[in-house]
Amino acid sequence: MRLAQTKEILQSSGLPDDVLAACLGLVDWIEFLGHDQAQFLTLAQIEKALPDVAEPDAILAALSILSTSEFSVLEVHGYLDDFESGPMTLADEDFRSAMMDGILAHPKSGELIERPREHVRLFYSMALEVVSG
Amino acid sequence: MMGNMTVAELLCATAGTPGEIAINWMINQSYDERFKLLERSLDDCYRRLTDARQHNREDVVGEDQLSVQIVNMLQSAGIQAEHDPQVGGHVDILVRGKNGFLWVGEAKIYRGPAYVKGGFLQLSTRYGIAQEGRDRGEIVIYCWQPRAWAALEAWQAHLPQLEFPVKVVEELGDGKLYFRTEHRCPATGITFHVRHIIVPLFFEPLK
Repeated sequence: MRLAQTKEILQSSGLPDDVLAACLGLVDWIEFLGHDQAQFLTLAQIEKALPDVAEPDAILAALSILSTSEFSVLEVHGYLDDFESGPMTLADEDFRSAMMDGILAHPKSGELIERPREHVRLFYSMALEVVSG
Repeated sequence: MMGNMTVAELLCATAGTPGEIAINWMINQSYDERFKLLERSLDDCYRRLTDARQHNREDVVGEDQLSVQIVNMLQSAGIQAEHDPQVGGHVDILVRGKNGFLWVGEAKIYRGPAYVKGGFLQLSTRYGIAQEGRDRGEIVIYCWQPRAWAALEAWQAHLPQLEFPVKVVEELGDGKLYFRTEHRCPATGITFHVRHIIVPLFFEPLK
């Protein structure tokens, strides 16, 4: 899907103003970044990229619309913030298992991590099938 | 500020807000989990309609306006919801998602069981096509009459008169304003699951 098409769908979706503004701001931002730069977008970076959207709820709603709808342009993933080696991204299958079943093995040590939701953070990437313009 | 909170911290910080639903909607990607979460979100929408019943009076709002309020609440929680899209006809509330996820809500004002039947037939034979990830729907009954529970009970009692067999799989019980049925989807032969729920909007305070 082309990002221009996504913007058209969003404009006619009837979304509440604050969610629509956050969606369009995010689409503009990932278009500016391009595929290479839009592979590890943390919530902190996203909040910074949307200075005009005051409500975290609107940002979360926009992220959900853009990653779960039929016209999604983002993928949601998880990572562990390791004190020594920095962020360790999880395989999507491991992320799903951690979120839904509460089962996660540490990607390096293989040790089971109890209550993974207390350790996993979210990040987003531009979906592979998305084309700029 | 969400900063780089963990998922648990995010859920805690957004508890009871649309943001909490949005996070859960993103991280629970199986059809079953989505359907469960959608029901919880809808329950919250119905509660809010009931809580604002002094504004949602019959002489002020209609069926469409109530459905639009529900769609707006779902959208604010990051769910791709629409009012009145074309899916075999004009659907009152439609939720779609990645990988073919689809949920259909047919809304009716309570004007007796025969009137609700029209909505159920629309849901069952026009909009709802049971396939994986799209085998559930809901009859949403807006009730301005007193004793909404009794109205729903009357509708449940009317089910044996339908043109095709419908099995009640969760009875209307005391303290609940819904029941559940299953039937074979005429188009696919696969089971279609329906929750029948009534939204009490009666408002005639005596003081």
